[in-house]
Amino acid sequence: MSTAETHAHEGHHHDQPTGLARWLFTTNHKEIGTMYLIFAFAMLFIGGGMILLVRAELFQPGLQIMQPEFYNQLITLHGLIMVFGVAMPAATGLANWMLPMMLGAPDMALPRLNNWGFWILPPAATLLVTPFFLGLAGIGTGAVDAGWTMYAPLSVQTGWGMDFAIFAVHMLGMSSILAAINVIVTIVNMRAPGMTMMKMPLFAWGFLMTAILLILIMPVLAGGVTMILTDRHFGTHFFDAAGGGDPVLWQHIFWFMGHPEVYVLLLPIAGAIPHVLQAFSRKPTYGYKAQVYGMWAITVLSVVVWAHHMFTSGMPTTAQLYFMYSTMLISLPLAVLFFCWIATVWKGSLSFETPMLFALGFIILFGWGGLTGLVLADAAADPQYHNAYFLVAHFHYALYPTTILGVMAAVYYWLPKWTGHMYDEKLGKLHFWLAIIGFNMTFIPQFFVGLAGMPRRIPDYALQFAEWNMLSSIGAFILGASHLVFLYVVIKCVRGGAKAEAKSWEGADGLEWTVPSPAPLHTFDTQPVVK
Amino acid sequence: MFTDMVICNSGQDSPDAYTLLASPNRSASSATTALVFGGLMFLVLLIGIAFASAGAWLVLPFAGLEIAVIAAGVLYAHRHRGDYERLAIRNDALRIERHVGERLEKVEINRHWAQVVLTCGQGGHHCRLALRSHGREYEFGRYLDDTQRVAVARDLMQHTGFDQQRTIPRGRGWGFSYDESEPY
Repeated sequence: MSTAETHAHEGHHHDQPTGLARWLFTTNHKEIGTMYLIFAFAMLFIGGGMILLVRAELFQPGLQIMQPEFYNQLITLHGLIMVFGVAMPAATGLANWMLPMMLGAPDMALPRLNNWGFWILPPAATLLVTPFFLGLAGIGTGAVDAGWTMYAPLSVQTGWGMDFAIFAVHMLGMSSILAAINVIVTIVNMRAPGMTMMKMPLFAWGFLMTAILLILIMPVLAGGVTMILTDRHFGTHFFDAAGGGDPVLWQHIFWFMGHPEVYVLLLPIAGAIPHVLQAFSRKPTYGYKAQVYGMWAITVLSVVVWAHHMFTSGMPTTAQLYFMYSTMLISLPLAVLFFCWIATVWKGSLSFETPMLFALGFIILFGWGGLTGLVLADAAADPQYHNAYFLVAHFHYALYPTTILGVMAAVYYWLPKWTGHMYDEKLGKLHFWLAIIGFNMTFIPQFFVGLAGMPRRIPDYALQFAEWNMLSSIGAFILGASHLVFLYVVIKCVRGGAKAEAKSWEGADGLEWTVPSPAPLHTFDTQPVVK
Repeated sequence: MFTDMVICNSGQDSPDAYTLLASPNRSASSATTALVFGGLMFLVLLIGIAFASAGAWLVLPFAGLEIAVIAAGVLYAHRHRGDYERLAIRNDALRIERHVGERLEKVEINRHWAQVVLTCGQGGHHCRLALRSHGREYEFGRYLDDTQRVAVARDLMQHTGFDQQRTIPRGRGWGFSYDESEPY
């Protein structure tokens, strides 16, 4: 499969395009990885900026700076952008940069497909946010405002922003599928001689599981949003009870995609974290096989537990019991991963550089996310917390540590390999502590107000919640500021700094550390062989 | 492209004076590829049919579309499973065979009139290996890395009759410097 693509790639040796053409037509995995990461970071500022407006509105009770319609658009776009525009591209960027290097492959298996996969993203993101900016200019009804879950019948009845969102979701899904196919082919077909599946880096295992999940869930989402489109414009009644349809069917479709999506975001990071822990504990990863089997178990279970998101929508008791127990069951393989991570660190020769801090931050905060998830998995208890701010806090404790703290741990860990320079450690630690303080200040209060009964998705609230919301808003701005520090760290590191050695960290292990820093455009001079 | 490379010299496994067979490195067997594709196809179809039976039949066409894309990739891989380049020298004949997809190209030239041409970029990287005869050049070694191209070029010089002018850089493994004006 790789031959023809590689020929094209080899053709670039002698005639490397420059300027814009270099980035438009590149098939090099490192350049495409860089573009994914830059795209994700740019979207982080857009999605993050939107939620800071929301937090500014929620700083005090009453409507301060926006109307509920505009608030709904911001909330919806924040969710869609953060999941599809930040988390998934960031993970794909890491995969692009690191998978070929870690597997001993010259590039991704399908480099041209890789290029297409990336260049679908910017038009998709533009499509998603265009109605928002047109709405600001007084044109149209604004962006999609049905929440990132796009529940029917609201999504069937809302304005034209929904149509833009449907096409954007199609394009984002297509990009994900192309990336997933590429990852699977690369891992299965392009490992270095001697690298059996059970000698593969855990990072590659994480991405293999993620790619399989994406291939399983994305057609369901694509079919679902197309059904919304036909309900909106072509007279079908898939989700319209008056026409014999069922709005709850959309919820099943969405969460069949939405719940595994959590693991799509988690598994790459669950694969990356052991590399970081091993390097800064100066000990081999504990329980390699247990982690691999744990990831397999999570992958399998993740596609059969989706309806625990729908306990409040109503379902038979037997179904409630099934989804409750299967959801709780998934905590077992997760616990295996946690155990292995802690055992890796246990009695290690620890040092606390920035990647290690982010990795430990990930473990602790994701642990909180998991534990609060167990509460929500209880079908009897869930109605107390569902649609309250407790849920908002829970899923941010599940997703933020994964998609931001975990990604940051990986980025700081491999940044010397990418840039050839060591980053500023003091600024890196400043970034970490600002992020941790900001994040907890934002979301711990949301547990409290949620338990006290504050509903989510409202621009106004009762006076009794004012203090906690004020604290939450201040935390959000601190969290936002922490990313500016990160931006400065990366720019500084790209422009200069102490020279990074090939093996930038004492305890680091893997093929990627056998090549110089920065990694050359074409990584290996000779085929590495794994023994 | 990293390579599985086999070189045979006279008196070993081949009647030829020199034989080189190079093919791309592939870690997956046909059985593994079939298993991965079959497994994914089964699961995607199962999910599509389940949703279709629940009323969401529009999931099925997308499942089918996705399977078609994956199948195209698998088919492409299957067609290129047998890709190789083979160079054989027997008596006066030097034969180059290139198998790409379902296309097989064969060229035969007189070894005594063949000139080995190796040109490398800055720092000895991005080497191109070719054989020149009667004004035409036949590139060889697309599945080899630079080290292998240099080694093969040296081997070929032992077996071809033409005097090399400028081709092999002065080598010290991978740290060599290359001066194009300096004759070998």
